[in-house]
Amino acid sequence: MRANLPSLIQILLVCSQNRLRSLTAETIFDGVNGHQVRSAGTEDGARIRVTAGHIG
Amino acid sequence: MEKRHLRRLRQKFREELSGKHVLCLYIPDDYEYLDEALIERLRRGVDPHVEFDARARQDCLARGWRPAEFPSLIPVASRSRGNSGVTSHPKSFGMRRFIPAFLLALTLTAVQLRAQARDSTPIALLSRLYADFAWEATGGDDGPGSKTFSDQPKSALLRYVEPELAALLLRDAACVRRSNAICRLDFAPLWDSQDPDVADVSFTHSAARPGTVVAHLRSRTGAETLVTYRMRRTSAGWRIADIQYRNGLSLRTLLGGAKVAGS
Repeated sequence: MRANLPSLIQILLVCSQNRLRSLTAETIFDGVNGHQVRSAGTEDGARIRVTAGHIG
Repeated sequence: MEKRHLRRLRQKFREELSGKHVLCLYIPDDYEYLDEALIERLRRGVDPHVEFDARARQDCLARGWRPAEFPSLIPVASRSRGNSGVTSHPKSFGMRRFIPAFLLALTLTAVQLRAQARDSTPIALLSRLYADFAWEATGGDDGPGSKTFSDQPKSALLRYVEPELAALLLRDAACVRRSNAICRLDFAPLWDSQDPDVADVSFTHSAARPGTVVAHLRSRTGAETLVTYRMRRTSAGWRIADIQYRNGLSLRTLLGGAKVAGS
């Protein structure tokens, strides 16, 4: 019951700190069915801060 | 903080975001790392959009395996691709109002976007529709394009509705602009409400009427509103032919169009 997307989609997950929500999502989703999943945070103190390179 | 995440990304990365699909999951900062409830919420939020077998990973977690051990444990071909009949549970994605946001940006290539546009099932199309316009019912004013569904241009409407229904919506929107007043449509058509407040959406097929899907819209207080979609398969994929509301009226007839045959 879902749109059937081809594999190898690149996905960026974003939250504030990149410590709990987006990091959990990266942990559970990355590599599944070939999708590449990364995560980042918008705040100054984020574990990994989101940059243009993450999105482009 | 839902507005802040999206606004920050838009401010800093406007160019980079162009052409990318951005999806807001509205998950509050209420969970610990690898919290089971958080995983379930992520899975339900992403499921209509990307084919993941996240449930398998959840099973791994339940068995106490460390995440580093996961990837090789997930058979990539565990699900037959393109078989849309395997999942029978209603699709659902959470939406919350006035809570910190969680953003998920899906970066899709043009090829992938075309594939998505095929909308292989009625529920796939409706899942996309409600994900794209969730912000209408969650109090945000900076949703995708920040234009409501009924205010969308023709090219956008045709991604969701049949040309006849798109023409009726466009005629009403033109009337609103011309007269600067409400014309025929005086409520949000996806939500059957003038002030939508919806926390969760799920879909069921109508067994008695093929091509009919019922959207179950639940408010934060648990009240449920049913909106009935008459769907038709077109060369571009499934599209909405008409929407029926609680008061018995349909969107097409409200907008002055003819009834859909059989409705």
